[in-house]
Amino acid sequence: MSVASVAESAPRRAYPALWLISTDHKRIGIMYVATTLVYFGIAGVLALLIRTQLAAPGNTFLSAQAFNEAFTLHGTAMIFLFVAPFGLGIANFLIPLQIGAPDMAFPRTNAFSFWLFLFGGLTIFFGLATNQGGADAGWTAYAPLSDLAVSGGLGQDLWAMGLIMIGISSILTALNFMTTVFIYRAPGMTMWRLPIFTWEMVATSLLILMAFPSLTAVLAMLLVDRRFGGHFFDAHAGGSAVLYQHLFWFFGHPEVYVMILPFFGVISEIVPVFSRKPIFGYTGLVLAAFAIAGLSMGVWAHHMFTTGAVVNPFFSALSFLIAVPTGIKFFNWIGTMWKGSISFETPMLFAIGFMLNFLIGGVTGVMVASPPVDFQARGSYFLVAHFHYVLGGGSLFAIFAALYFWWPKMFGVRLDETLGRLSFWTLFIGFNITFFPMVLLGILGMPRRVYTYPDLPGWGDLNAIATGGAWLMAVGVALFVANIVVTARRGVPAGDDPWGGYSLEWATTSPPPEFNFTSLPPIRSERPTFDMHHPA
Amino acid sequence: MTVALRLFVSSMAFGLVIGTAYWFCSHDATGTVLLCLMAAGLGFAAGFMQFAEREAALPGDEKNALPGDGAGAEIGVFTVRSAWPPWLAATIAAFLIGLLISPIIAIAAACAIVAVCWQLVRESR
Repeated sequence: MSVASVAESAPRRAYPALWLISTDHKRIGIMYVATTLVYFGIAGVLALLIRTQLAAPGNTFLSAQAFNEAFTLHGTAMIFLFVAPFGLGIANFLIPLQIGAPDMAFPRTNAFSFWLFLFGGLTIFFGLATNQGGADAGWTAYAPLSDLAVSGGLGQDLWAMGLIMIGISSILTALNFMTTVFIYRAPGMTMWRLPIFTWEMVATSLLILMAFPSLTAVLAMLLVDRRFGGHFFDAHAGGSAVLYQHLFWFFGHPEVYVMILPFFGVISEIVPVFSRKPIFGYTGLVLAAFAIAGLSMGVWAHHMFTTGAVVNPFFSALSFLIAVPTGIKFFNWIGTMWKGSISFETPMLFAIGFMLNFLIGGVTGVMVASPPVDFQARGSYFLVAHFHYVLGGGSLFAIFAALYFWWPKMFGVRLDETLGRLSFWTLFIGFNITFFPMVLLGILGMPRRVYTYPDLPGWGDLNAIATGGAWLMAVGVALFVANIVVTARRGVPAGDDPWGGYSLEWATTSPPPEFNFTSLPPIRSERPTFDMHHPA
Repeated sequence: MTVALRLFVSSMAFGLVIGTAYWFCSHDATGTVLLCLMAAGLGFAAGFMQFAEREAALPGDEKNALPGDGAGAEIGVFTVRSAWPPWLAATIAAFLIGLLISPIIAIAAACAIVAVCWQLVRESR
């Protein structure tokens, strides 16, 4: 193996302060994951506040302003501070391990990206501490809802500035990932031997590089409009609110895939291991990832069907097309499980939960890709159900699958299996009790983004059920937290390869040493650790 | 052509095709410019890989390479720790927040950014 020139080779000590100045990709990855989980906790509390307010018609638990702030910050935190950066965090931990590299290509830049992400998130929430309150224009901050006249507080500016920081951080991380994968692969680790997770992160990085500059641009323009007398989005002064939507969704739709492609990778790593088979259709899975990434760049205006300002057939056709590579992935996962010796440990349970929930999210997505259906469902709870099935039922379950699967590699101990299974079933049942009623509420015509609603037939009951489900999900998350505490107190060492894993990270110690490997096995396929343990 | 280069070239071609198709379907300047800029960015990356880095021979691209084949070759400098990345992030955050709430904070933060960047350069020498 090539040797790394070590700038500073002092032995690793256990001082917590050293984590703060670490440039080791594993520590940065773990700090990313921990930070995103804290933000997830905050977003979850906001979700419970929202659902408690909506539990009954005419409820006054939250004021309209507080509700607006809660759902704006809930959406922002879930998307920008939890799901997307969790993918970047787990990739930070895994990519160098999976390709046999000693670290990321640019370790200091990597640390800088993490800290900028952390400060960006804090900046967003800092708005709550101002006397004008937090951001309240929704996670999309559509103009003119986000202009000074409607949303005049400093919180909205801090929201935009925080997201600019997160955007820059994400772009730097994506550059780091791509450089690392292209340049620092171990001898024999050709591109077509990369683990599927690493491939998915290459596709995700490409998406970030293509889409995130548009977010930075639109937020800078918004701030110019709000603070420096600009009129980019002011229709009265010759600007265009539709321009905001174009720029925002040119980022926003690919962002959906930034939040899902890493987790397609997670599932593609877990399913073969617990099916005791190689992945079915490796090449197809890789090509499907890039097909999804490419097509996702051309469908932004399906979020704008009802504006009357876009060519609906163009965007509808491309949106339908995305179902094909996504279907290929499902086919390959099922093909992998087919006639496999499947075992149902907690990571596999969450992986299967991901597939079931994401299927509902995907099918409802195909429905709203049709403009006539979208005109009917626009602005209703049907859409809330759809994207929560994609990002909550999909990404969230894959996040838990990833945590249970790679926890032993991160910390050397396995999370408790009984608590894990209990947490899975509580979350799975709770999730569907929360969000399936929203499909029905959407069909009944209940609009989203309202802080209260009249007592119309069915609305109150379905909302009460959804709120009950949300609290059940909170119990599921609490069980996960309890699992961490129990494991930290009396977890037993898991060994280097507790699951019989296939990719290179399972060939090193748990947790891995500084610079990752003391020796590497020969790499002759996409399953080097399996090959090492089962020589032909 | 390496896999990475093929990836950028095919993504650029896709951007050009879809940008052209979009223009003829919609005559919308905003979307067309966005798609063409995307293709241009990918083309720049592809061009860099083709012309600037074409001499690079990577052991990771060799199918039959063994772990020992790259032994002894220096592949980079990997720092274990550095205090400056968190400071750089903090000062940039202070600068951006300062733009919103106080020019004095922004100016002070800008000076701090320069100082931290200088420290990073010194450290990396």
